[in-house]
Amino acid sequence: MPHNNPFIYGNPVTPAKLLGRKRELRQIAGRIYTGQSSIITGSPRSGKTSVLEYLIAPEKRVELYDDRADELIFSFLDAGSWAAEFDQPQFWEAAFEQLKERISADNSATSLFETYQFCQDNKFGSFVLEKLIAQTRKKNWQLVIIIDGFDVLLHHKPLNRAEFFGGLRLLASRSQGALTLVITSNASQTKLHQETQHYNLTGSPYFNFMGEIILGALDDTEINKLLHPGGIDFTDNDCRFIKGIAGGHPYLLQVAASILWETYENKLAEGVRQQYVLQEFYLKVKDMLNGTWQSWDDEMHKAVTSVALAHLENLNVVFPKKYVDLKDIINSIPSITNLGELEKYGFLIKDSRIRGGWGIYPTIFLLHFILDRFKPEYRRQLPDNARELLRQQLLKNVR
Amino acid sequence: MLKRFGEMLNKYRLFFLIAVTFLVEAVILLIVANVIQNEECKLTIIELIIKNTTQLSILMLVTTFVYLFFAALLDISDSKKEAKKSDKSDFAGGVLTRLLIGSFSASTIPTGVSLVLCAFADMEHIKHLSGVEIYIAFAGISLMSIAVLSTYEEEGRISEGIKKVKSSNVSDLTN
Repeated sequence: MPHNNPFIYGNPVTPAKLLGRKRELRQIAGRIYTGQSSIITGSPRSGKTSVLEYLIAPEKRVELYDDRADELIFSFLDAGSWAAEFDQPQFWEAAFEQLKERISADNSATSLFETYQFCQDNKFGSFVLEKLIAQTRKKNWQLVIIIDGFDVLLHHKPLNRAEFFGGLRLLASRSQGALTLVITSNASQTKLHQETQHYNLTGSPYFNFMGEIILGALDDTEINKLLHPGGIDFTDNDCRFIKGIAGGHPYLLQVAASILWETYENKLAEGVRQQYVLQEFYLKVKDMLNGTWQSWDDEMHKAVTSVALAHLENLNVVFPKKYVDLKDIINSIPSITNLGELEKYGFLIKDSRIRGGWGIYPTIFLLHFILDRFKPEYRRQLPDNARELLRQQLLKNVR
Repeated sequence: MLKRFGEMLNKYRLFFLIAVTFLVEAVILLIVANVIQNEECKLTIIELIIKNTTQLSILMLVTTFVYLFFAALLDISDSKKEAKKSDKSDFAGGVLTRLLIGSFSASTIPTGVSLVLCAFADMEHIKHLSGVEIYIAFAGISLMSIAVLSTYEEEGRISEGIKKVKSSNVSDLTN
């Protein structure tokens, strides 16, 4: 085994180390190639920024965009880094930074440079922006504006306006492929539509010109690839255990595998190392699980809580009847509408062994419910051995 | 001002009723005690109160119990229609608890008054207080039962505060 932990988590992974997501990358690159805008949605830490890094990496451009690689101008913007007073002119100034550089480097683009300056003088109004985009198209260039963490803008006063969202939509949809938007969001496209609906009660939703690409759970092949980088040989039992608690979530898998790798380095015995991994793993991912929970709306909370109660019952962890009407809750599960969406995002899985037909996956979420998510007054009503019982079940990899 | 006093009187009518009845009873008891006492070594009013602490305590206990009992009866008949069958035994248990707490607590008031009088008027008066240790023990037991019963009641109230979670309010279960 190598002596440096090969499992990386925390920062976005470099394009060379990005595992899986091939299908999603092909879809997004295909849409960029044909001038279509995309919205990449996924739970926090699902790898959205890593995917964006891959899409703009110079060494991957020919592979992704073939003959159009040189014509694409990528502008990467991180919505989370914008100050509270960051306004529309500042946004366009930042979005056109790369275009400006390309214009300056091209001697034949003097008229484009003049138009850019005209735009700047007019504080990037919609009319002049359209002219700039039209001229860009004539040069056969395509500006790809990438906005990471777009849902932050829903709480950003100067940009959370009909004028801004409408302007983006207008420019991208009328540019004939010269302006493409690629945005990422923790919230789904439907949720973004709902959040901006009050600006646009009668018209089409602002973001319906974009195709949604969901970053859900990795498939089994991708998980196996992630768990076996060069020289690593975890036992089958350990791999099953990791897959159970981390599901197909890339960040959770990396964290769990990283801790497991440490236990191999420290030569811990099998049973002991799984107990250690479970304990350390929960401490490390607790904040991420909290963040994921916060990113969901009430309907999602209801759905996940109902399924979690059914799954916990399957693991013999049950609230007294006096406090929770489990029968009523489980009977309502088939009528919950957003279970499919949660499955796509990689948090639920169909499981006929569990009443209601659905289970929580990654199962570490169940421990999160028992330890932190249930309100203390209800948590106190659980049997005293509930935590220990659940831990034992997770160690047995009951899913 | 008068209106406010009227509202207060209405709100604490049970308390006022008990207080007035007890005062009337206490005055009668003290008058009788004063009349029948020995002319040669006549006691002052303070000494009389201290000497009759036991009788006053019993009077207070009975008065409070009777009033609280009738108040509880009225209360039960009022809420009889609203209460579910399963809640009735809990409800009756709560009323009985309150009856006992109320009566025992109230009966310690004359003892408390006597001890305060001894402390502030003249400590010599304590010699009129027969069986001081019984009063102290009684006060102690009352305090203990109040503490135990209050804790029990509070715990019950906390449990009652948890709403039963169903599919319609499943969000109540989580933070």
